[in-house]
Amino acid sequence: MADKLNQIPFGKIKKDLGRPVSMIVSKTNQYWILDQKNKSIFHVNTKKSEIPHYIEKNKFNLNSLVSICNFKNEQILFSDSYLNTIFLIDPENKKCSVLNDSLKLEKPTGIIFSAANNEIWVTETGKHRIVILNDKGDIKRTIGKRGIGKGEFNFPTHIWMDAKGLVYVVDAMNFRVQIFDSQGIVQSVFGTNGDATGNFASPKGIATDSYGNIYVADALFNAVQIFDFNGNFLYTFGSQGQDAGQFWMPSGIYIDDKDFVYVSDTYNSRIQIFHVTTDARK
Amino acid sequence: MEKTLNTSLPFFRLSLTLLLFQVPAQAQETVQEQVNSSPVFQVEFVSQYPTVEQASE
Repeated sequence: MADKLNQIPFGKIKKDLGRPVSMIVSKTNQYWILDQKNKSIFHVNTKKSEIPHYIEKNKFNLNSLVSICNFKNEQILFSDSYLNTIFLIDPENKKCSVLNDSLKLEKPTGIIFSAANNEIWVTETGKHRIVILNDKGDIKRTIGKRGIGKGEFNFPTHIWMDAKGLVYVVDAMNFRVQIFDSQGIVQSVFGTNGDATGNFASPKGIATDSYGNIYVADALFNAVQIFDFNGNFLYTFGSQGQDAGQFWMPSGIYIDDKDFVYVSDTYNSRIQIFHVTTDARK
Repeated sequence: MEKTLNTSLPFFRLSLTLLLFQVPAQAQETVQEQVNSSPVFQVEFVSQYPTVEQASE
């Protein structure tokens, strides 16, 4: 759908994209975009772009939208760190609801669903840990506590799961990335604070391509940096600006199964789409 | 004290010379190895949403 964006009647809707912070491509090749400014969610396909009425009319005041992910049966999950809530979107039944009323989290931010294990992984930023839920939203177990050691966190935020089930966590205030296996065992840790290439200043969204390269958006660098599994810096793209390929405080990043890279270019009020090719062998 | 300084100075100079000439050469080799083994990336801008035309409507 990336090459058909100019066919979408974007100007026909009431609201323009404001501050997109996270997006996904659904299993049916549609975009779902979290918009912090509009406190809502855009649904984009080749025929229309809209904030679905069942989301626009909901009773929730979505003050701090952070992350969105695909869930089972073409449903969608998203987090609001102010409401301390995980929401469920059911497009088929046109419903937006709280996943689990009894689930108490402290500033949930990143969210990802493991279809293989039927688990939802949430970065609970306020408690500096990862919370693993079953598909009903009940807590199964947690990983980590506040600290600087391996497997510990200092305000973890964004999260990603690759096709092999490895989980990538942005440990934001430790300025590093931690990689876990599906059991929560640390596989790799890399990153340091700084303003040099390959350092982190304000790491945000994280994603991997089919070659296993790791992409991290950095809001202060206005760039996306690419690393290998061991944290070796490979490449960077982006600079501050409004032109194509430039960013203004990017946040979320998503990579689809064809290696299209979608960057939520938050303060430029747009999603930018790239295709990254590499001679790396799988 | 003065004697000690005088006798140790040539060794210090030798060490500094080795440091200046050997380390950069090693570092260069390491960087070259890394470049040779790193994948080559090419980033192509595909599109944006909304497109420029849509955003100006």
